[in-house]
Amino acid sequence: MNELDDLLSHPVPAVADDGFSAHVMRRVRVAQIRAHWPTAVALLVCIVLLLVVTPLDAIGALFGAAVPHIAGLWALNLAAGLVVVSLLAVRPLSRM
Amino acid sequence: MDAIEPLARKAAAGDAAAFGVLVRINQSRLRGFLLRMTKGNSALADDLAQETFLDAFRKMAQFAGGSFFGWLCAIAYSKFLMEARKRRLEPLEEADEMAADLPEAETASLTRIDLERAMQRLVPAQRAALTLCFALGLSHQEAASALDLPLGTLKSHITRGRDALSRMLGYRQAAS
Repeated sequence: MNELDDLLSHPVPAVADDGFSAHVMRRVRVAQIRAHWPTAVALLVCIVLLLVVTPLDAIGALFGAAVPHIAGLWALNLAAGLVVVSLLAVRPLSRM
Repeated sequence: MDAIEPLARKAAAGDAAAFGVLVRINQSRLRGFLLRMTKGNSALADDLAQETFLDAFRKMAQFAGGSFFGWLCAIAYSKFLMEARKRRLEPLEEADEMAADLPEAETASLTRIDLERAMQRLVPAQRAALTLCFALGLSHQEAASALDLPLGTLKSHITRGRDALSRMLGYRQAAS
């Protein structure tokens, strides 16, 4: 039985990869896309429906009337300027 | 094997690159296991291995730790059994003629080729149990879990499989 146990204990012969792993990963990526596809379609349908029911004309007219007043507010201009400066400074600061 | 745990965690979180590393690490042993289960049918073994890895990726969140390779073998063995039933590849239950003697040997010494031929005459559960526990180094508990068998049944498959192999290969030695 010892000889038999020795033989049984030999590892199964190694199998060369030969592109097997790459092929599996290609199929994994396809499966991932398929898994996310229904979510993407549902999101798109929701956006389209939202655009259909949203009163864009009324919103546009409202903004058109409000913009000249907003542009004259110095506090708002200052806030917008600070946001721009902050965004520009984030990257150099993160490198320090 | 310590490297497997963090990779499995990342893969469970949807990291395909981490899963890719797991595939590369385990593909040879898994394909070797399936090659033995399919009696050397490399095309079928590779198909089953691919399906096993795809299923593993989908179910990664269900991996509860322990032996990742054992978990892969559980998926692979279940796929093999389904395919064997579908294609009627071989009887899945033990029959008297399964342990029939092999043709006369060309040499007196036991070789790996003799063993492979004798292994092909075992029922799948015995072949899987012996391969997982001896050639692939899984513990009895891990192998029982992989084959979805109670521990006692696994040990019984190992004992009966070894006895059958011993009879087959013993006859060959005596005959030559």
